[in-house]
Amino acid sequence: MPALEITDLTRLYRRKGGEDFEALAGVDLTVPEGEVHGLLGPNGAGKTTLCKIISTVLLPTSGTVRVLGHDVVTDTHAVKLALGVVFGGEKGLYERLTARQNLDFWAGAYGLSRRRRRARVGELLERVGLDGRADERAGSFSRGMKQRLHLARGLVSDPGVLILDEPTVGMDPVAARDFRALVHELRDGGTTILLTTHDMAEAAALSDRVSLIDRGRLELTESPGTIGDLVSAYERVDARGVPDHVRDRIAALDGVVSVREDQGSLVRVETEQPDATLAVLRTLVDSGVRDVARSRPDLEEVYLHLVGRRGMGVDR
Amino acid sequence: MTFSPVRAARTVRGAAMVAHADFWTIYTWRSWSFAWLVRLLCQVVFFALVGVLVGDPEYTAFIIVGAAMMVCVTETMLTSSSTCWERMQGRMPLITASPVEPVLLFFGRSVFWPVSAAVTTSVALLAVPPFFGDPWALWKVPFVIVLAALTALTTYCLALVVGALALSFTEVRNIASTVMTLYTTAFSGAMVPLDFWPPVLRWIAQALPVTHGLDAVRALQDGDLGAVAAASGLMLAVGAVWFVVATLAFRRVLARARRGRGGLD
Repeated sequence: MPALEITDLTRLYRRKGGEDFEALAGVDLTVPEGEVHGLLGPNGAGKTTLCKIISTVLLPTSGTVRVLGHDVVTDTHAVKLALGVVFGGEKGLYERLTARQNLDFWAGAYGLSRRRRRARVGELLERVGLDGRADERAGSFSRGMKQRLHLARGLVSDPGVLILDEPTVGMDPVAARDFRALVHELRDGGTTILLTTHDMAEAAALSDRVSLIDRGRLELTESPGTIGDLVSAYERVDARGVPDHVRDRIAALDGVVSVREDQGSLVRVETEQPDATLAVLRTLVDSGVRDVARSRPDLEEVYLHLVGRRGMGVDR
Repeated sequence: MTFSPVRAARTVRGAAMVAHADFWTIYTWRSWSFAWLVRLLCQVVFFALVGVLVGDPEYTAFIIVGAAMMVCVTETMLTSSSTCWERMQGRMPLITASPVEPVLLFFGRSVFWPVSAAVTTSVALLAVPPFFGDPWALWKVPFVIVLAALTALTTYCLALVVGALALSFTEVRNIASTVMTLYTTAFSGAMVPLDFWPPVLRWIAQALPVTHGLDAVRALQDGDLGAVAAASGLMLAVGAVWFVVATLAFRRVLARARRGRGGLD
């Protein structure tokens, strides 16, 4: 039985004026038990809407979602017991309670007995590295500590499936690294995790498989390695002071996707083969252009490449 | 989902822990005793002086009880605000995603208001009348405290309904509680005898727990324990009805949000 089974899922929102906005459009996704599945997409892609439907916070407009075999519409209570949820951001904790009290509160809400609560809360505080600060108010914690407490809260009922919605948003790099180490531990422990992020590196580092979502549509589901290969095929070179005849020569090179002028004198060259990037750099340097920088495209540009390559016609 | 009293108790206990932490952030024991309590006592004394000005000792006794019981309503209706804190501090999605019965969580979450109200109302009922020549007989004192506590508890059930409505419209949370307090002050028989109002308003007043609380306290003044018991029974019944309404109201608010109307983010 899959941990998550999403079939033809659609969610419409009614905008002011009566027009419908399609936040999710026919999403199909199956996540087997024990998998860490990264859901990657830019802001507004539909990631949080999907998480909210899975976690019973929102109803789907159509389609079905099953969590460990339980339907989110007809078997809501069983889904809630099977699921842990960690939404991103600082909000959601009881800041006037200590870390231990926060966990104790949610453990009570999930029906744990006093003895189980005490044991579980202590175990989780230790696991997320907050046992030394357990009796301090959550409001005094740094963002990274709060997010670790959020993760512990999400695990309080020992859920079979854990939803992590943008868990590292706003964290400093050290806190984010520590948080990822915790997710690694959970993966090793066999917890099924759906992780949403707009950070490709994070998705690749943590996930067994990654799905790309954009404008409510699941564009592809691949292993991080495959997506990494696809991404690494695309590069760009930015240069200033490029004479027109050099631009024409670059545009004619094999593997060059586009040459366009950005912000006045900046010329941006996009390539889809590592050899092409090398050829572009050589051409520029040989022509006396010294103001040159090579970089990877950001996520949106990767989407354009990937989606364009698969002929799915996303217009931006 | 089957109802489990043990589980319900765990939910209320956990939420009451939040209430306790919030209360002692809002107040210290000094600010509660020498600012909040004194402010409420001044309010009761003010109305008592109106009674003295009118020159009718019977009305003075009537209005002191009414004003003291309104302390209970005023304080308990603050539940509307503390219910909305859950939404304003971003916890509603987590509450919705948890297997908790919402009314139990919210019952525990604001329980500091009725507890505080039970104490302030008891103090107001017991401390003010002696200064206006109408002290309580000693044997009645425990009854006064119990009636104040029951009035606070049952009014709290009504306040939870107001809180559930305010959860969808947080911007009117204070207006909702103020309107409810003013309505109760005017039409529950606290300041003006119920007989003064037309029958429709008298009937509506029966739905307010404090109407029966006032009847009970006034019956206690007369030493009529049978009438005290009858009014207390009615008050508990009305409170129970409001608790059921609150249960349904919270479920409805969460169900609406789940459908995408009246989002609680």
